[in-house]
Amino acid sequence: MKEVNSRTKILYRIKENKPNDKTNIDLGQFFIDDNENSVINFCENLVDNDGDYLILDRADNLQEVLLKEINGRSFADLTGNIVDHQSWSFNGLISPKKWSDIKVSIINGIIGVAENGAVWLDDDSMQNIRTLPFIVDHTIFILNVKQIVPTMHHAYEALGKIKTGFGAFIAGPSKTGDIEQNLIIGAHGPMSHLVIIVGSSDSQ
Amino acid sequence: MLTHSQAAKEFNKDESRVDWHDKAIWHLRQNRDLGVNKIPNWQQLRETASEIKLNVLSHLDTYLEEFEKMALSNGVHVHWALDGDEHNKIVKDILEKHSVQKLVKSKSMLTEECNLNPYLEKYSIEIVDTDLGERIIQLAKEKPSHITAPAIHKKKEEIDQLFQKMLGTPPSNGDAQFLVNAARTDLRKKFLNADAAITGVNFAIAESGGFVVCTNEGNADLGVHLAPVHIACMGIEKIIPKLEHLGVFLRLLARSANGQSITSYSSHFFKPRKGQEMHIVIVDNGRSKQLASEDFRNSLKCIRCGACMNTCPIYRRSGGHSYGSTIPGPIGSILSPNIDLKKYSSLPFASTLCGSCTDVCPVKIDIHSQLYKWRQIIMKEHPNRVKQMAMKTNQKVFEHPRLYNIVGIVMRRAIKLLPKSILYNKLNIWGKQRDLPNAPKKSFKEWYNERS
Ligand code: SF4
Repeated sequence: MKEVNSRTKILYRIKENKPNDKTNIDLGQFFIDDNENSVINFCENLVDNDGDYLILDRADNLQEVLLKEINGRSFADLTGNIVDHQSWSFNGLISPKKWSDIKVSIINGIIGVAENGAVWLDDDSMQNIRTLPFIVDHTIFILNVKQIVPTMHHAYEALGKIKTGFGAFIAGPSKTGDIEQNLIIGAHGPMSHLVIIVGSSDSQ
Repeated sequence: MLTHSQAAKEFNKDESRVDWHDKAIWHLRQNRDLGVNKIPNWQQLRETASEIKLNVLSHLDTYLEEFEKMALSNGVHVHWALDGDEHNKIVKDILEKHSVQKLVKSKSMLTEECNLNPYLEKYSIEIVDTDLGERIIQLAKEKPSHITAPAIHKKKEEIDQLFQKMLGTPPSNGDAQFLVNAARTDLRKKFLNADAAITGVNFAIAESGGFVVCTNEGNADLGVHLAPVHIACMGIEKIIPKLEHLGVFLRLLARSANGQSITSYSSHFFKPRKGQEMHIVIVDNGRSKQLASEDFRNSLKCIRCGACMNTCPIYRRSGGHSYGSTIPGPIGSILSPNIDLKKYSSLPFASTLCGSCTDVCPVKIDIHSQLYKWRQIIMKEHPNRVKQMAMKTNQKVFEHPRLYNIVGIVMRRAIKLLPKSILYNKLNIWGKQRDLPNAPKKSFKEWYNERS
């Protein structure tokens, strides 16, 4: 039982060697509310991270907007906004190896973070298809204006005790600077990243 | 082993390359400043991050136990490894159990530290590094020269040639877009056919048993979500107490690395997906020993952002490989002597002690004073090594802390004013025949915030 031994040894050594600090950690000072500018900040910071945004007053014409964005490519809509066209179906046995055929994904965001343009997704909004937003060429996220919070601190406060099995902040497309720091979009997955913000008029 | 200055001399043979490298790295530092200056309470954020990490070190055993308990209840397998060998064996056993032949791995300095790749190759397991920079150096059979930009020492024309040879691409004159597309096509196949995925861990959360992996490429996620087995490897120091503390660290990490407000992907893993198996390997490998030392334990706060190397005039002009350690630059120079004092005895001398590393470090590690403390230890324990480094003339300075403090201040404030003879003595082999690179200045804002 080498494993048990190593565990015990490591924990014992730490116990012997650790410092004794009792500083109180207070994150209160970071909750600076800047709600008025949250939507503008979100959009600006998203663009800084090579993402894009669309602001819609109402959700009425969402389907139309989405279809225009999809532009005839194969898509998986997890939001139920597209009713007139056939979305990719994950029912039945489709090998993940075929998923490279899906070009566009449409997923509901849960929280948007103004300071960096990131959108939080979890197993529910991804309907447990964790691969989806990472494997398609184009991601579209739908966010209500009320879901945008100022900073990461607010985001974790809103998330509380996270219950999901997997969740991610996604702030832009897949990118790399590994070749002489040339910024290249589409390193492995999405080559474009769009957030559609709905309901701006009722909040302002 | 070559001393740092000998290796740096090698690197310095090609003057234009040194300038190119210097500029490339300095670019990261400049972007970092732009990103940092957008945050009004940056200094408080650093201070808080440093306090959280001190709290972590003070409760590391109980946090690890809590983390393990929660991870187990989430259906995750947890393993403990005293050293790199045990880590490698644990990984191999998991892979063998699942008859894994093809493995994809996203960036992890820990597996690099444990030499996992050569070990697994002995067992005929195909291991593919999927971070583009790591893939490039894997194909070139080299080691990373930087912790966030592993292939930063390579020019695009060299990558072009490498891809022609290894991937059969047509010549592209070093067209970065073309080269990335070629790697993308090749790696997509690897992702789809992998039997298992290995990732590193940026932060592990004690209260939830979950962990966070940050990438810009999305390569960690693509590997993990497609493969039936996920193995995450972490050093014991990656623990943070609570989810809310991620707010602090995710704000600091990417901004410190290259000025981005956050990486494209910050993925939080709590439970395996249906039908998947998830393992966490917790590795000590000398860290608990480092914890015992009051002088050096702060180095365990490191979140591997790379800011200290980007700002270091010596790193920029000597290249990551000249350090000969897994982690190069200022942080590598204080971590490596703990692993092998004799082998890495020249690293703490690879510094002007200008203190710029300490100024940019997001968790406020006192890097340059630790460099100085290592020097004192090495002077005592390996005096011959030091002589070999031709340090004699400066010995007095290093032996007397008081004197050092004065010199330290002078270096920091007035590096540009010092006569060349002082900067370019035998100690500064990298300063030979050229001006010392731009002395890293704190931005006005940083300086202003710090003093208030
Ligand atoms: S020591 Fe500080 S600056 Fe250097 S990599 Fe670690 S966290 Fe970043």
